[in-house]
Amino acid sequence: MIIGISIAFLLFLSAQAKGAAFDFLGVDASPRAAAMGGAQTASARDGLAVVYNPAALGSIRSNQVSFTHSAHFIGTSIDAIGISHASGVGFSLRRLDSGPIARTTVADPDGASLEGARLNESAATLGYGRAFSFGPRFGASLGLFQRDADGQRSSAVAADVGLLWPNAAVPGVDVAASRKT
Amino acid sequence: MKTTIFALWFAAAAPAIAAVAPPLTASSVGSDRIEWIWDPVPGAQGYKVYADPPRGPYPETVAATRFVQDDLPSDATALIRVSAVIDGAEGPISQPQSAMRTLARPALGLSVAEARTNGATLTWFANGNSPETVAVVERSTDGVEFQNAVETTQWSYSANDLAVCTAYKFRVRYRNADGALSVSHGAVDVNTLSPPPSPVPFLQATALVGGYIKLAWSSPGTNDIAGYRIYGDDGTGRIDQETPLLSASSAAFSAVLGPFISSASYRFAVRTVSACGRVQAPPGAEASAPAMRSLSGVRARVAFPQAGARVAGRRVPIFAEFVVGDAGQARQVRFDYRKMGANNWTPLTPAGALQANPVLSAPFLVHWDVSLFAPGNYELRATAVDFSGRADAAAAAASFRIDPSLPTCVGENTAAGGTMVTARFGPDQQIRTGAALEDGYWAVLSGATTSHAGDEVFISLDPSPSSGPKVRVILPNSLYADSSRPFRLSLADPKRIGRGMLAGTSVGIDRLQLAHLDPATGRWVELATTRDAASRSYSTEITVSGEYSAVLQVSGLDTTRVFPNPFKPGSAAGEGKTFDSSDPDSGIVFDRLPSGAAIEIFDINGRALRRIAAAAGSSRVQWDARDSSGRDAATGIFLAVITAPDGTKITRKLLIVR
Repeated sequence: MIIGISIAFLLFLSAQAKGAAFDFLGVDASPRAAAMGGAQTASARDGLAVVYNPAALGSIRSNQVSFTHSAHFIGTSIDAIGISHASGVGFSLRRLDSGPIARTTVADPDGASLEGARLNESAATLGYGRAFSFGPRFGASLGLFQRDADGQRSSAVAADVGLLWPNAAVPGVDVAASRKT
Repeated sequence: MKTTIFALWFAAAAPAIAAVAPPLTASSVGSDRIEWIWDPVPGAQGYKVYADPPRGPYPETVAATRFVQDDLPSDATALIRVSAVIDGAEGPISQPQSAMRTLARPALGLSVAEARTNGATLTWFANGNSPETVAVVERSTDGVEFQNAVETTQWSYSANDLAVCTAYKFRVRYRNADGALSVSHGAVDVNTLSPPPSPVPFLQATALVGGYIKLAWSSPGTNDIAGYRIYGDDGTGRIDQETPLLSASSAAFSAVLGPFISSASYRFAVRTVSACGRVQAPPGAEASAPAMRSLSGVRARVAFPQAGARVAGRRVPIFAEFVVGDAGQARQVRFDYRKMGANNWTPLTPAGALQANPVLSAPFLVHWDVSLFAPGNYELRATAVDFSGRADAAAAAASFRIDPSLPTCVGENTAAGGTMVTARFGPDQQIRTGAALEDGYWAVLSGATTSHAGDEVFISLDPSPSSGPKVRVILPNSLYADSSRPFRLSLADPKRIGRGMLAGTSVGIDRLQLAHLDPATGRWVELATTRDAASRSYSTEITVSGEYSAVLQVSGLDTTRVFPNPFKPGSAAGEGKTFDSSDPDSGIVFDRLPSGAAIEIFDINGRALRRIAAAAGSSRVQWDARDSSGRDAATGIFLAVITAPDGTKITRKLLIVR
């Protein structure tokens, strides 16, 4: 049995970012995660393992690099790059670009003469995970988040800790629990 | 005893008197008299007439076989009985026979109360006839043959079926109880009118040298105009509308009047005359001009290219028009140019070998090869010289730019040796997307103006937004009927956003079409439009004058709007107001929705946040920027999927910034 626990803390540095959710962080960053419906807390193995559970970095046996680009609706895209090193160090960059948004106002509902608007969000995460001889893997990561919402800028930092405990008593059965930001 | 016998003999020997034999004939019947005649009785020296009603002595003795029964009431019966008298002896009285009836009295005072374009109203007096007596109104166009128009017991008649501009005669006779018509006291003339003549739509007065004034007008466009009458004020300021100065035929559209001796302003009026001579009521079309013995000068300006134009090509038309005087008063017009900022003017060298500068006669037009010049800002002027040799000392300069990269006007040689002028709209042209024309068409052009000289047409950008979303193009059709002289109308790079949508719509820019307003139907007709992907321009060739525009055909959700976007609740006005159900502009507004449209809001993860439906009959929905649990939607990107009742969908990207 594998038990995966990820505890995350997201600390906002900017008062302007109150209520901000950085929802794009919930979008699966890797194709493997997307294919598994996002169930990666206990099974992250690729270059973007730090995104899901820093403790998983302790299970990396060979260096991993992942690149993803996903196109969402009407010009919105999410890009991610992740590196997981066999030493247990992992790093990822993720970025959301809304693409041009037709600006309108109450005074100009057509917006024909208005410049477009845009949203850019980015997240950089650095983490480390280590396997202990008695079985469990522990990991921690630190993330820096930035947002430019139509010229309104804000930043935040977040810290994650994770635990992964492979249990050989019941091979093939994984049990995972996680809390994501 | 003897005497008695003689007497009996005499009585037996007296001849018998014959009776007057009926029928007695009424040779003449009037409204108050009947003239009777009968066949004579042999030997009669007279007749006794028993008249009913009686008149004078009864019976009345007459010598002839004629009796006039007069002083009778109208429309009444009368009869007579007659006996012959011979040697004082009266014969048998004639047998009774049918009574005769006098006629009704003739109508009196028949007159025309009103004559109209297709009718007239007549009035008359009954002349003592009873109210039940029927009047017969008859009309004729030749005064000989009368037709029954109406039978009435009224004392007036209004005819509404007469032909316009036609002479009629009307008469009225009364019918007695036996159906016989009374005499007529004569017919009256009715001349129906023509419709009011249409006014001339345009009149211009122009001062000519020598104190003459030229009037020019245009036809009303109707075929019932027989001519024009021109009235003037003789410099008094008040037009004499009674005595025309001149009568012109329907084929004339101008007249030169004068010379006028003073320098005062003279006013003129032109009134139309209809086919049957009806003159348009005053005041008619009016215009005024000063009478000038010698004009103070002539002045021209560069009419094309317009100030601010960007030109390119080897054959750019340069065209002057007059702002003081006219072409007939100018000996020549000279075109000069200079680089912006330079001091000296240089005479322009025409591109065509057959052209000269100065230009000696209208049209004052030259072609210029601007490809020989470096791109940049230049100035042009047109200096007019009058016949006295006096040159305009203050000819205005018009600035323009030689700009091969983004010209608004390109003049080039054609294979046929002519000139092809391409007028280009945009890209800095204001694009109007809110002007719905009709039938779902939206105009995307603002206005432009055109002018033409000689055989060329110029179309220029018009910076005035008031000129509307249409372009009026005036082509000399006789010239452009020749396909070797095409005229191209083009729209360059209309403004767009996102993935080729026209601003303010969800309509792809590739659906844009140039269109012509059909004057017969008042509907826009799309023209075959060529889209050049490299220059992102749209063009078509036109051959007729009229209204042109670039249009998009829109329907359903094409024009749905979402505002404000981004939504910033509590920020500056116009960028978002926290939802308040009493404020129709609060929250995020979806409008121009089809009735019954539904809106679903999704976040970046694809989670459905909210579903809102437009109320039946409503085209507007407000979203309070909250999810279905009432929680505020956080800062981020959202997707609005708007579904029309017919199943068509559009998606809009929303940004909420808190």
